[in-house]
Formats: sequence, C-alpha cells, structure tokens
Amino acid sequence: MSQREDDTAHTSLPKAEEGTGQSSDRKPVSVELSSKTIWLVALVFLAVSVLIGLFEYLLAPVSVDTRIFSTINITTEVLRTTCAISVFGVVWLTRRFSLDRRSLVIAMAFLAAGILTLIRMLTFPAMPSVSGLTEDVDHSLYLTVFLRYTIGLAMLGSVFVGIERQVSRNGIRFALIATAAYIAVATAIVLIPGSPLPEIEAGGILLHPGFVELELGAIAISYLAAFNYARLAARENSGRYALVSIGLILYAQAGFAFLEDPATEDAVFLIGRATALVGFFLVFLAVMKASLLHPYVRLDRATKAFEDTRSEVVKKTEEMRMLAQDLTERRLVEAALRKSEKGYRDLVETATEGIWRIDEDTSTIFVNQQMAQMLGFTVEEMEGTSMSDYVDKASLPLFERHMVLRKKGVRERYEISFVRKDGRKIHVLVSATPAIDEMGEFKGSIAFLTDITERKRSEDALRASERMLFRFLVDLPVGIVVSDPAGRLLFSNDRARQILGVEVDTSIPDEATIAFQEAYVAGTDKHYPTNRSPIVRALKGEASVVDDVEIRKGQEKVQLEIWGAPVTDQEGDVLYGIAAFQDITERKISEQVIMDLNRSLEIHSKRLADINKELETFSYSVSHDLRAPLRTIDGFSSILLEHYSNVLDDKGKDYLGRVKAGCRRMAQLIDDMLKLSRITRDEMTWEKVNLSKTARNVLAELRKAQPERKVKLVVEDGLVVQGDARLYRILLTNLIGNAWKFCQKQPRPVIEFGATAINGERVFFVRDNGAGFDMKHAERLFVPFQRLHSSVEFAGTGIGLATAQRIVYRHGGRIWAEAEVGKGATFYFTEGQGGNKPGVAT
Amino acid sequence: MDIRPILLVEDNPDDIELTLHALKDNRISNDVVVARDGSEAVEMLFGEGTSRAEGEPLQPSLVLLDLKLPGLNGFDVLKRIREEQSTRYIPVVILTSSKEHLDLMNGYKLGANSYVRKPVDFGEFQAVVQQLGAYWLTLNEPIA
Repeated sequence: MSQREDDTAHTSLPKAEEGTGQSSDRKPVSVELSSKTIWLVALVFLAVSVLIGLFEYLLAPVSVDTRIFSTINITTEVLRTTCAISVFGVVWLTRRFSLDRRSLVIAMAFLAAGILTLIRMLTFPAMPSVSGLTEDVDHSLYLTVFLRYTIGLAMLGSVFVGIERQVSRNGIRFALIATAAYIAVATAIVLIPGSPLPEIEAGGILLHPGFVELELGAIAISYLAAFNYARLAARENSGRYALVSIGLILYAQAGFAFLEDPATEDAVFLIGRATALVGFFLVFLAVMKASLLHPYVRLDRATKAFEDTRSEVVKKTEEMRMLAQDLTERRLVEAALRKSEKGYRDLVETATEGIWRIDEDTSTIFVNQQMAQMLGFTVEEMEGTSMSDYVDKASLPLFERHMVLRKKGVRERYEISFVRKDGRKIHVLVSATPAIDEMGEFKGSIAFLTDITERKRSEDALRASERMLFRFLVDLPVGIVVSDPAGRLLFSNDRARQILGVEVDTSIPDEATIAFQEAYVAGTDKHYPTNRSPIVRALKGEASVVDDVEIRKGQEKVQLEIWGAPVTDQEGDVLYGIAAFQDITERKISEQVIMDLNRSLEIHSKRLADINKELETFSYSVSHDLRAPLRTIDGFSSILLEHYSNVLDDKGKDYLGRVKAGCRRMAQLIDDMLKLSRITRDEMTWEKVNLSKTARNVLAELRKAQPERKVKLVVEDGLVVQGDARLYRILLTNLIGNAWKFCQKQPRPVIEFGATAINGERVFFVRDNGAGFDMKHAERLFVPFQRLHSSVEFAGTGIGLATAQRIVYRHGGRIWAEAEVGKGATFYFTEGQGGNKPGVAT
Repeated sequence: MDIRPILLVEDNPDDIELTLHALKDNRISNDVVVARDGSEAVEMLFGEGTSRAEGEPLQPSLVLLDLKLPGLNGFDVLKRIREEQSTRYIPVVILTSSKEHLDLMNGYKLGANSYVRKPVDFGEFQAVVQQLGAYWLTLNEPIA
C-alpha cells in the first residue's frame, strides 16, 4: 500500500480545470481531517459498547418472542458471512492488481471466518436440520471461539507480514490450501461427534469458565490487533487502517456481548451480533478501499500523472519546436543578415564615394576606406574623431549651420572644404541624411562624400576661360552678336552696337534679328531676304558668309560683311547662333577702285599683247621682206660688176661698189633690230649666273678675235647673280665689247669689271679708260641706233647699249653711265630683285 | 653626179634669176624647174596639174624651197613631200631670208634636210649655191 492515503481526495477524478498544485495543497488537510473523524467514530463506538454493557447490567431481561430474535440473529449472521466472503472475494478478484501479503492474510482469515460463521449458523436451532449439526449446539460454541481467534491472530499477524507485493502463485496456492485445511480441521474438531472438547453448559445461560477464558483471550488478541492497526493508521495517516482498527474493536466488543449473554433470544446478544457485523463491514470497506478503490486512485493518479507528463511533454515539445523554429528562423535571419551585411559592406567598401557615419555629437562611428583615403588617413585613425576636425577652418561656420539642419531632420547636398592629412585642401560634395531611430530620436547622420576638387578646379578654369573669351568677344574689333535658337539676342559686343548704330539692349528680345531685318541688299532698296541672313542660317545650323548687306544709319549707308555660324551641342542641336560682322563700306569702295584699275590694266595688257603681236609680225616681215630687196640690189650689182665690167668705166664700178656697201649696212641694221626685238620677246630662264666667269669668257673671245691688241683686264671674282644666263652674256658682250671698242686708241687700255655698293645696293660696273663721252649726251646713250661717235671713228650700228638697257630692265635692274671725254666711261647696272620679272619692258 | 632636175620653189623673180645665175656660175648643169608658188610645186611633184606636158610627176634630185610663198607656203609643200611615199626621200633644202627660230624649228620638224639663209651679199650667195650643189648633187648618196 502506498505511503500517502487520501479517502476524500480520490473519490472522483479531479476536474480538468483544477490545477495539480491546488489538489496537492489540500490533500494533507483532508487526510488529517479524516484521521480525526475516524478516531472520533472509534471513540463513539467504544462509548456505545460501554453503554450497552451498562444497559445489560441495569435492565432486567425481558422476555420477547424468540423467533424474532432468531430471525435477526440469522440475518446478521448471513450478512456477516457475506461480508467476510466478500472481503476474500474482493481481494481474490483484484489480486492481479493490488495483492500484497497483508491483503492475502486478511483475505484468507476472512474466508475462513466466513465459512466458519456459515457452518456455525447451520448449527443454530432455528436452522432446519439438514446436516444434523443442529444437535450439537455446545460444540458449535467452540466455532465462535475459533472464529474469534482466527480473526484476531490473522489480523495481528497481518500487521507484521508487511505489504510486500511479492506474492507468488505458489504462495497464494499455499494460503488457499492452508486455509482450507484450517477450516476442515476446525470444523472437524468442533463438530465431529466424539470431539475431545469439553462440554459447555448448553441450553442454559452459564458458560464453562474455561470457555469464557478462551473467549477473553481471543478478545484480547483482537484488541491487540486493533491497537496495532490504530498505530499503523496513525503512522501512515491511513483511513483504511483506521477502519480496520475500529472494525476489530467492534468485533472484540461483540465478544463481550456474547459473553454477557450467549443466549440468542437476548437483546444484548443481538447488539453484539450487530456490532460484529459492523466490524466486519468496516474491514470489508477497508479492503474494498485498498483493493478496489486504491488501484483506481493509483490509476487515476498515474493517468493524471501521465496526463500531466503528457501535457508537459507536449508543452515542452511545443516549446522545443518553438525554440527550434525560433532557432531556425533566427539562423535564417542571421544568415540573411550576414548576407545583407556583406552586401552592404561590399557596397560600402566598393563605393567610389566616401561614406561617413557620425553620431549626434559629430563623432565618427564609421568611415569607409574611400573616405579615409580621400582625407589621407586610415579608417582606424578616423574612428571616434569628430567630423569637424577635418573641416577647413573657413568652412566651419558653414559646417555648423548644416549640422543644425541635420538635427532638424533635413537631408540635403552641399559643398564644403576639408583639409587632408597632408594639409592639402579638398573640395567635397556632401550628400547628408539625418539618422533617426525608431523612437524618432536624432542619432547623428550619414553622409556620402565625393571629392570634387578636380571638377571644381576645371570648372574654375572653364569659368576663367569663359571670362577670357567673353573679354575677347567684347573687345574684338569685329561686331559680334549671339542669339538663342528662338532668335532672342543673348549678347552683343561694343563694336556690334557701334556698327549697328543702335543701343542694343540684351533685355529686349529679337533686337538682333530686328537689326538685321532692317537690312537691304547692298546698292538696292530691296529688303535683305531673311533666308539668306547669316544669323537666321546659323540658327538652322548652317555656316555662311555674305558681304552684300546694307543697313541705313540715317542717310548713311553702311555695307556689312557678316559671318554666321551655329554653336551646336554634341547631338548637333543648335545652342546659339553667332554672327560676326564688320563695316566694309570703305573696303567696298577700295575694292571697286581696285576692280576698276584691274579692268583697265587688263585692257592695257590686252593692248600691249596686241602691240607685241604686231611687233612680232613686223619683226618677221622685216627679217624676211626687207632683206629680199637688198639681196636683189646686191645680187644684180654683183652680176653687173662681174659679167658686165667691160661696159662699165671705173666710176660706174665705184658706184656699184657703194650700192653693195649700202646693202650690207642695211642688212646689218635689220639684223641688229631683229636681235633687239628678240631680246625683249624671248622667254627668260632664271638661274644662278656667275658674272665673273661670263666676263672672262667674253674678254677671251674678244682677244681671240683681235689677238694683236694688248688690253689689261681686271675682273673681280665670285660675282654671282640670279637671272637669265644667255641675256647676261649678251649684256656683258655689249658692255665689254663697247669698252674694248672705245679704248682701242688708248696706248695702255684697261678694262675693269667688278661690283661696288652704292647706298647699300650692289652695283656692277664695266669701266674703261677709252674715249669716253660728253655727259650731256648721256640721255641719248641707250636710244637705239643713236651713236655718239661716227661710224668712221668707231664701227657699230648703235644697238648695243639699247640692247644692254633692255636686258637690265628685263631683270628689274637699272643701268646708267658716267663718263668724261678722253678719260673713259663707266657703265653701272644693278641686278634688280630676283623675283621681279617684268614681262614687258619697252 | 645626180643629173635629175632641181626643183626651185620661189615666188620672187629676182631671186629666181639670181639663183639660176648662181647655179650657172657654179657650172651646175642640171635642169632647173621653177615653181612660182606652193600649189604649182605640188602639182609638179604629184601630177595634179597640167603645167608639165608629159603629165608625169617630177622626180627632182633636189628641192630648193622658199618659205614665204603665196597660197600654199613652203611648210605646206614640205609636209606634202614628206607625206607621200614617192617624194619622201627627196632632199629638201630650205633656202630663205628668214632666220626666225620658229621657222628653223618648223622646218627641221617637218623633215627638211637643210636650212640655209640666203645671204644679202651675192658673193656669199654664190658660195652657198656652189656648196649646196657640191654636197647634195655630188657628195650625198640619195635613195634613187
């Protein structure tokens, strides 16, 4: 049996809503209460028993109908037997669940008691004489003692056998056999005729004193057993043991009632019988409780415990599941977080922008690598430092202002200067966002920073260049107007306003186009066609130049040359149209003059060409036609002289000779004239000509022709000019030949060729110490066929110097002479400019 | 000595007389056929006219050709001579008053064998004619 017993607590299953804690709290109270109650009940029974005994003594026996007593007696006996057998039955039937040694002993004792009671009952006189036992009433009284001893000893013994559950099948079998044997022996001893037991006074009231002593001994044992059960009940706080104890006490009390009056027709006897019955019933109850109720209680408790455990397990499982789920979710979340963190870290670390996270006191919480690099620090150096430490001093007030805005939750972009670790200033574009936590509290800010130092520098440079360009445009001595695609004037420079003669106000739209709309086609009263206007064409993306635009400034007409050009963007769309223009009125007049001159020059050139052509034709005619008659004259004169000399006298021959001489001179003149004309007509070839060398060659030829003449020659070396070699040779041939000729009468002739500088110009000269001439005739020197000396004195046709002059002129030079009669002459010429190639010199 | 006739193309009668005189003085006995203009010379050479009784084309041993001629000039005649197979190899000496460079160029370009300027002096002219006869009629070997 379990250590903790509770009668009330286990009468029903606890309600579901009742907590386990509550029931365990109430249990001890209820147990205590029930124990007290039991003891109270026991005392009441004891008191009643004592009172019954006293009543027996006080009241005289009254004679009543014995049959009623007998009936009551039999009824109680039957009930008692039922109770006793039931005790066994219950224990037996529940042996598989709740059998222990104590129960077994009790069950066997009551089985024996039940059977013995039944047998004794059969001995009663009221019983029909079926067995014949009714004859032996005396001996049946012994059954009563046996009964009492059986119960008393068994119950006393049951206290000591304990409640071990280890009852083997053999043990049970042994108990059954022992019990059956005991019953058989007891019955035999008591009821078999010829029993050794002494006779008890039967039929009367008196009992044998020995029998009474036996009876008292049995009662004592019952009390002892009851006492022991009471101890057990007290020790184990068990209601069942208390019931057993009370039952035993009542049973013992019933013994007293029997002893008082063993006669069945007595009230006291009946009360004794009833008391015994109650005693048995109480034991039955106890056994019922122990064998039937208790397993249920245990089952219920186990079930409950199981339920509790199960629900606990379910709860724990759920918790575990939840935990597991939590864990899984957390793991997932962590993984996602890690991933996203990595993503963000990558983003942050690979961002080309600097990223700077500061707290509300501008202390650095985080900077990325780029940010640190931008400032020349390492990330570690910057952590925890204030952002303001890096701001350029001049920018600090600006920085403070922006920080205030940040605290107000403003996100914005601004430019600010920072100072790098190396002291270099950088200009940074900051894109800042305030950091606000979930509570709406300001927690510093996050900023993305871009180094725009370079950009700013190039912007500044661009601006400077723009300013320069603007200045340039403004100061340009050409009128400039710039218009937007809509034709609105955006810019005009001073010169533009001056030329247009209007106060061009850039705030007035369409001024530029108006200015040009008032334009005319130069020299007419026609308005200038819009689609030809350079500014209009520029806005269409076309570059153009016109010079026939005329504007009117009062009476004054101004002709303009206008260049128009579009300014396009990368897509080729026109951003601006630019027109540059200048006043070409003067130029146009000059151009007209030049054009007129050119035209007349052209006419002159044409006339000149015509004249040249005529001259050529003339020369050709001269060479051919003039010579023919000369030949005729000479020819026939010769024939006359040869074949008709016999008919001619000497005078006639002399005259024919004069005719022939005239012909020769005439032929010479014609040849010289042709030569001269050819000099001016022939194509010139420009090359380097060594005049020194040419002069020597000419002199060598002259010497060869007249080897008898001794002439001193002085030639300066290395005189080189640019010109036509053939013409220069003719020039020198003429000049040197001239000198050779005119110094033939000089005893010590000297011919000199050289160069000298006159007014920084190189001048060549041919000098002789010959006849010379009078300077007053100098002007006639170079006229063809003019001779300063008679042909008798000096031979020649007078063509040489004219030829020389033409050659010098053709080279762009000058020629002149200095002379004194009898002292010689010097002819000077210059080489002219190399590139100067006058085509014609007459 | 080539005895075929000499063709003299010359419009000036004085020059014809003087030339014939010079030839005679130099004892050049070949017949001298005179054409007084270009057309006549062409007719004689290619039988296109009736000037010659025989009507046969003239095959001269030498042509003395003046340049300035009425009608077809000397160059035209020279061109025809050189174009025709029958006259292609006849020696042609241009005998003229002109000493123009252009005339010299044209004459040689069209295939003249010689270019001689008529000297004004008759003595010199006689010498020129003598040398021409000696060279072209005696010394030179023509394709007959």
